[in-house]
Amino acid sequence: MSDQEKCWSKLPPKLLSLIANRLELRSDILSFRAVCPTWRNSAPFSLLADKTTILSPILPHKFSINVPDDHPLTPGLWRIANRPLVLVATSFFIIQSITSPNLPPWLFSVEEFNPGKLNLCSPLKRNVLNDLPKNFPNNLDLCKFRITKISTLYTLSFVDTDYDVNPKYKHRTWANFDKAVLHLDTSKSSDHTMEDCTLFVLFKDSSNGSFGKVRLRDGTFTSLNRCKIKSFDDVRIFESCGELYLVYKCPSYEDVRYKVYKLKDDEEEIKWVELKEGIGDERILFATLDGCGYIADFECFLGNTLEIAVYEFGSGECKRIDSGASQVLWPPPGWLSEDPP
Amino acid sequence: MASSSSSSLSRVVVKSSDNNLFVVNKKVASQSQLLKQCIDNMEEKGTNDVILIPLSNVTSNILTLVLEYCEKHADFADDDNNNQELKQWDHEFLKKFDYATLNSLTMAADYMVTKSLLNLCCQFIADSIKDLTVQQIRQIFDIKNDFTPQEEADIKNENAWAFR
Repeated sequence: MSDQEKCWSKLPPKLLSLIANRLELRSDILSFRAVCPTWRNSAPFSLLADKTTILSPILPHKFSINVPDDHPLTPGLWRIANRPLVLVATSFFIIQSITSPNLPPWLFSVEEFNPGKLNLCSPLKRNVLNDLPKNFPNNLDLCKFRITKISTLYTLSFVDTDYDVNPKYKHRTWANFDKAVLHLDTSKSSDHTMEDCTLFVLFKDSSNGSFGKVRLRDGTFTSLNRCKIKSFDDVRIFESCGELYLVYKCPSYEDVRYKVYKLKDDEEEIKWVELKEGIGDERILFATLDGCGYIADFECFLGNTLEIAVYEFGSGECKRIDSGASQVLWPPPGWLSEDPP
Repeated sequence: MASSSSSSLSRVVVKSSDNNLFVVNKKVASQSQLLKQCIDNMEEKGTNDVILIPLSNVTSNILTLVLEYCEKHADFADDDNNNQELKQWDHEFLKKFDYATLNSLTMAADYMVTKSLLNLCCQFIADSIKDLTVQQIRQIFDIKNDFTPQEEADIKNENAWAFR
């Protein structure tokens, strides 16, 4: 086979469209279409017809939590059950200038509360930035920058019945969830259909945290409270490689700053098992108010101190890195709105 | 069934484009619809000779890989398709190759009508594209950007995130 035939832009359109048809995300299909003319023609715009969402193929998703009749209705559960909720994806990105790669990157997050529409958020807080700075572009042209996705987290908000019918629906409450930590378990399937999704919910119940899982298909709630969670405020849960983990921020009087637990869920028992050795060198945990994710490929971090604080599980050392951190978060850099020369 | 005069031979010979000969068990060869069709045709004619199938589009490097895949899948042919061990093997199988080999393998799977291998390759390629930027895709697949300025402008409109 000649070298020319090995070229990916010379792959027969029939094969290219087989590949394109397997892409689930709108953004992946758009990237595929932007590679070269042959690839573009192999992935017609019609592929996007049923893919109106940007960050996740199945979110935002509206549902309610249904508590089985034989399940005790605790005050915490009573607050969240049987009310319309929407599960929203929030993704964190690092954006770098292609023309001036030495300029500091910018860390930002966007959420998709209304399908197909992104809201810029402040990464370490929960609020949506409604008043964008003057220099912020109306349309962020993804081809002009190097954008790396760090992680996707999931948040829940209460909405009215109006949410489904009004594409510009804005009203929501998440205060009731206080510091609820949520995570979507997609480990069982790579297809990300609603059928396979289980949402792990951590919510405040009196002063402790209650832990349970919700089958998203029909909202059925199952309590996982046999594994106790104290001091709800200092806990985040996250999923990595199909396993569920919990990070606990210890009180300041203890020697250790953070502890990591892994959920052991088999037929005999369900409990959190402490991992003395941390989560492994190849992963970085990324924690915010709403939850945390992990970063498997942190090549983009090399040479850039982006971490606000770095905690090493091995040595127990917590290094706070302030220099440059604030300008990584705010304000948006000027090169975002500049046209390349 | 084919005529009994020829079915006594359980092996066929497949010739690669660079003229190397591979002796292949019929059950293994049947994983490729192209080879199966050739064997069926020859047997219908009632030949007593060894069946030789020349493949003008597949080099011996790539043919070796396709046959390795066919052999593994022939072993599991009577099991159900959900066999975990086979799935795991499939996954490890493709991970070994660089993108140039993957390209040729995909083309060969298509040419030899080995549908499960073709699906496997396409899914693997789609999975490796996920979450990459356009520049990163061009880089790993070694593709030049040869859009016209007009096309560039269309793409720009298409790939923008609207914030206001």
